[in-house]
Amino acid sequence: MQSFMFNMVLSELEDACGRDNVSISTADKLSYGVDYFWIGRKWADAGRPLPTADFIVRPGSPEAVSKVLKIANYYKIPVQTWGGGSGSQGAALPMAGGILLDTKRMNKLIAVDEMSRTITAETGMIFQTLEWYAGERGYSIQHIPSCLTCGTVGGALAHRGIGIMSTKYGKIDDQCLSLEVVLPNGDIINTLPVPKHAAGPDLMQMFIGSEGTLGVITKATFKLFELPETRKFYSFLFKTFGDGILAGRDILQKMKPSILRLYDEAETVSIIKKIVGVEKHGSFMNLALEGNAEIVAIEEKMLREIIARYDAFDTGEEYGEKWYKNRVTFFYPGHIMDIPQMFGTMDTVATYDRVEPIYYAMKHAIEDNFEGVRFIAHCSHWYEWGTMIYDRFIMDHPPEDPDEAVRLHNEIWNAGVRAALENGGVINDHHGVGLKLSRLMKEQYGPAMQVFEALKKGLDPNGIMNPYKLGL
Amino acid sequence: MSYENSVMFTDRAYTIAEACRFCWMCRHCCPVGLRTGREINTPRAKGLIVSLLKRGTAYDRDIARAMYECTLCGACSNDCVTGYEPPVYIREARTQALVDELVPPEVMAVIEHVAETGNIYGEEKPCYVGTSSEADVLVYIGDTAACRTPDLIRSFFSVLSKLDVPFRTLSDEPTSGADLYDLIGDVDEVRTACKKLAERIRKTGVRTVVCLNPNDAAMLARRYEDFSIPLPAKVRTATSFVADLLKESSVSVTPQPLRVTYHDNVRLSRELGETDPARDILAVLGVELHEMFLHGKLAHDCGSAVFHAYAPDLCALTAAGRWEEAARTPARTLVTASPEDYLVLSAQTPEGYEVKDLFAIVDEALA
Ligand SMILES: Cc1cc2nc3c(=O)[nH]c(=O)nc-3n(C[C@H](O)[C@H](O)[C@H](O)COP(=O)(O)OP(=O)(O)OC[C@H]3O[C@@H](n4cnc5c(N)ncnc54)[C@H](O)[C@@H]3O)c2cc1C
Ligand code: SF4
Ligand code: SF4
Repeated sequence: MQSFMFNMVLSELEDACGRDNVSISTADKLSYGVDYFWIGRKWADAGRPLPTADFIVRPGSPEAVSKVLKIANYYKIPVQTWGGGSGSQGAALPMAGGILLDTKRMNKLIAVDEMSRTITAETGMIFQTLEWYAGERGYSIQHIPSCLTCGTVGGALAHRGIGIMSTKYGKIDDQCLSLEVVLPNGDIINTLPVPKHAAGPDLMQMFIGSEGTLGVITKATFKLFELPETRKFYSFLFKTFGDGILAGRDILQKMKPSILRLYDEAETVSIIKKIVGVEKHGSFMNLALEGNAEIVAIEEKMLREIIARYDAFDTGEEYGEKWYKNRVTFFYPGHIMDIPQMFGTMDTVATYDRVEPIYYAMKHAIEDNFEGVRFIAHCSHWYEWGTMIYDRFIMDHPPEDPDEAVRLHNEIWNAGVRAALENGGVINDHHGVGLKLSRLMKEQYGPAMQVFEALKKGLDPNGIMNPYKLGL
Repeated sequence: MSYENSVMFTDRAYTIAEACRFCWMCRHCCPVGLRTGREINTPRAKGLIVSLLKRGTAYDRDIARAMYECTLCGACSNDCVTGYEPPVYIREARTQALVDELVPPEVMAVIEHVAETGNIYGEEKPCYVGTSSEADVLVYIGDTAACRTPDLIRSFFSVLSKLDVPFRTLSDEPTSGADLYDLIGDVDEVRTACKKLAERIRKTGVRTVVCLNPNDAAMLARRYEDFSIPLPAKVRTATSFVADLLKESSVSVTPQPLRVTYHDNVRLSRELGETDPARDILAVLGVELHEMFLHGKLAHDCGSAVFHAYAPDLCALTAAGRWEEAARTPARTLVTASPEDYLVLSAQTPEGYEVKDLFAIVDEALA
C-alpha cells in the first residue's frame, strides 16, 4: 500500500473492532503463519518466512465482522478467517496477506434450549468449551473429534468436521440446525431455524464446508443428546482389512455403534501396537455401543453374530476401552508424526463397493512410485452406504531442502488423490480442501464446479474471501 | 545453556518449545488465550515463536510483550499428556527480554519496584507480629497479604490463636522471590532473594513454616529445592495446616449457613497438588459447597498478583472469566484461600456476589 494508505485502513479497522483488537505486531503475525498443514510446518522448521497478514483483527460481534468485511470489500483487501488454526489443509493461512480475521473473541454461549434439546453459541468458541457447557447440564453435542480442544465451533463447521462418535451421532453437518453468517458484502443472514424442510435448497449446507470463502459463520445451533445410560467397548481382530470392511457394512445395517474403527494390517502392527498394546497381526477393529442398557444388550448379541460370520478374533473389551482412553494420546508430540518426517492424511470417502479398490489403488500409487514412502490406513467413520478411509502416507527421510520437499509432497498428494478419484472416491471426508487440495477440486467436480464458482462470484464478486482456497 | 542468534535458552526450554510449536492440544485451558482470543496467547504460538527465535527471527518488543501475556498458571502443563511445560520457555523468554532490554515498560516498572523495596508494590512492607517470639511455627505472610489484604492476615492469626497455636513472624519479612521469579525467571537476583529468606528462616530455628500465600509455599517447597537452597524447616500451606489442626482440635465450630463455591488457587492445586484441605475445612464449617464445572487441578486461573500489577486490564479479563464460571453455580459467595486470588477476584466482583477468604469464615465459625 502506498504511503499512509496503510494507516488509513488500519484506523478504519480499529474503528470497527476497537483499537485493542487490531494488531500489526510481529508476534501476532508470526502466530498466524503456521496451521496444521505440513508445508507450513516445514517452512517454519526451515526458518523460511511465514505467510503473514498485514492486519490482524479480532472482532467481538457479527456487527464488527460486518464492518470489517465492508472495509475489506471497499479496498479489495483479502480476508482470511482463522478459528483455532488447527486445520490440516492450510485453509486458514493468510496466503494473500491483507486481513486475518480471528474469530476467537466471539465466544459467548447464547442459549441452551432444554425443551428443544439445542445449544447455540458464537463460533469463535473452542469446541471443548461448548461441549463443557452442554456437559454442565447433562448433555453432549457428541461432536468429539480429536481436535475437540484445538479448534473452534466455526472451524469445525467450515470444513465439515467429524468426531469419533460420528457413526451414531452424525457429522457436524448432521448435528447443526442453523447458522448466522456474515456475507462478504457485510450483510448478516440467518439460515432457517430447522435443518429439515422443503423450503427450497439447503441454504445452511451451502455455508457448511465453505472454508471461509463465502462469508464468516458467526453463530450456530446444534442438537443436544442426553448422555448415554451405558457405553460398552469391544475389540476384534480380522484376518484381513477386507473382512473388516464387510463386517462394518453389516454392522451398520443392524445398529449404529458410536465408535467404529478398523485399522489395516500396517496400522495394527504399528500405531495400535504402540498405543493400545495389541501384539497380534491382522486388522484391528474397536467399537463402542451405547445408549439404553437393554438395547445395547440386544445390539451386542447381534454384533457378535456378525463378527462370528467373519471369523474374527475377540481381543476383548479392554483394548476397546484402552483405545478410548488413549484416543487423544495419538496426537501429542512424540506419538504423532512430526518434522523431519513428511506425512499427510488423504482422508477419502466412498461407497462400500469402492473402498477396497481405492485402498489398494492409493497404496500402489504411493508405495510403488515414491521410494521410502509407506501408506497406512484405517476406516474411522461409517455410513449406511460406505466408509471413509483415513489413509496416510509417511516418509521418514524426505529431502531437507524445503523447495524440493514441497514439490515431492505435492506429487505424492496428486498421485494418491488421483488414484482415489479414478476409482470412484471423494477427495475428502472431513479435513476439508483448503490450500492443500485446492488444485484438485476441478478434477473432483468437473463441470459441476461451475455451481460453486457461480455462488462465489455472486456472493463475493471482489474475491476477497480466503483466496486460493477450495479451488475458488 | 546454548547460544544461538544471541538468543539464549536452555536446551530443555528449546526441546519443549519445539514440541509445542506444532501442537494444538492444550489451548482450551489457557485463561489468557480464552479471554483475549489472541492466537499468540496459546502455548502453541508461544512455542512457535521461541522456535523461530532459534531460527533467526529477531526478538523484539512485540514478542517480549507476548511472553508476559501469561499467568504462568500451568494449566497447559497439567493438560499435557507428554509432560511438557510451556512455563519453562516462557520464563526464559522473560529472562532474555531483560537481557536484551525488551521488557515492556509496565512490566519494567514492577521489576523496579521489587529492586527498590523488595515487593511488586514498591511500598514499605508493614510488619505483623506473632504471638510468641519463641514459637516453633513461623507464619510467612508474603508481600501481597502484607501490602494489600491485611484483613486476611488478621483472620489467619485469629484462627491460629483460637486453635492454640503459638506462632511467630519475621521482622522486616524478606520476599520469597516468587514474584521476581515470575517476572524475570531464574536469575541471580532471584536466587539472592531466596537465599536471604532461607537464611532468615534458618536463624529462627523453627521447624515449620506456614505460608499464607500458596505462591510463596510453591516457591519455598519446590523452587528452593530446584535452586539447591536448603530450607531447614518443613513448608506447610495455610490450608493444609489449618485443615489438620481442625481435624485434631476439640474446639467447637459453629456451622456457617453459607452456600459457596470454591476457587482453587492454581499454584496450590497444580504445583503443590493440594485440592482437598480447603474442601475439608469447608466441610467442617458445614457450608454448602457447589463446585464449579472446572475445579481442582482443572480450575481456570483468575490471574496472579504480579499479573494484576503489570497487566491490570488482562487480569480483569481472566478474573471476570472465573467469575462467569462461579456464576453458573447456585452459589453467590466465592471462597478463596490465597491473598492473590482474593485481591484479583475482589476487583471484579459482579453485583450480587461476594468473595470470602476461607480463614475469615473459619474465624467466624470458631468465635
Ligand atoms: C490434533 C488434531 C486432531 C484433529 N482431529 C480431527 C478430527 O478428529 N476431526 C476433524 O474433523 N478434524 C480434525 N482435525 C482437523 C480439523 O480441521 C481442525 O482441527 C478443526 O476443526 C479446525 O477448526 P479451527 O477452528 O482450528 O479452524 P481453522 O484451522 O482456523 O480454519 C479452518 C477453515 O475454516 C475456516 N473458518 C474457521 N472459522 C470460520 C468461521 N467462523 N466462518 C467461516 N470460516 C471459518 C477458515 O477460514 C479455514 O478455511 C484435527 C486437527 C488437529 C490439530
Ligand atoms: S504443553 Fe503439551 S499439549 Fe500443550 S502445546 Fe505443548 S506439547 Fe502440546
Ligand atoms: S501457563 Fe497458563 S497462562 Fe501461560 S500459556 Fe500455560 S495455560 Fe496459558
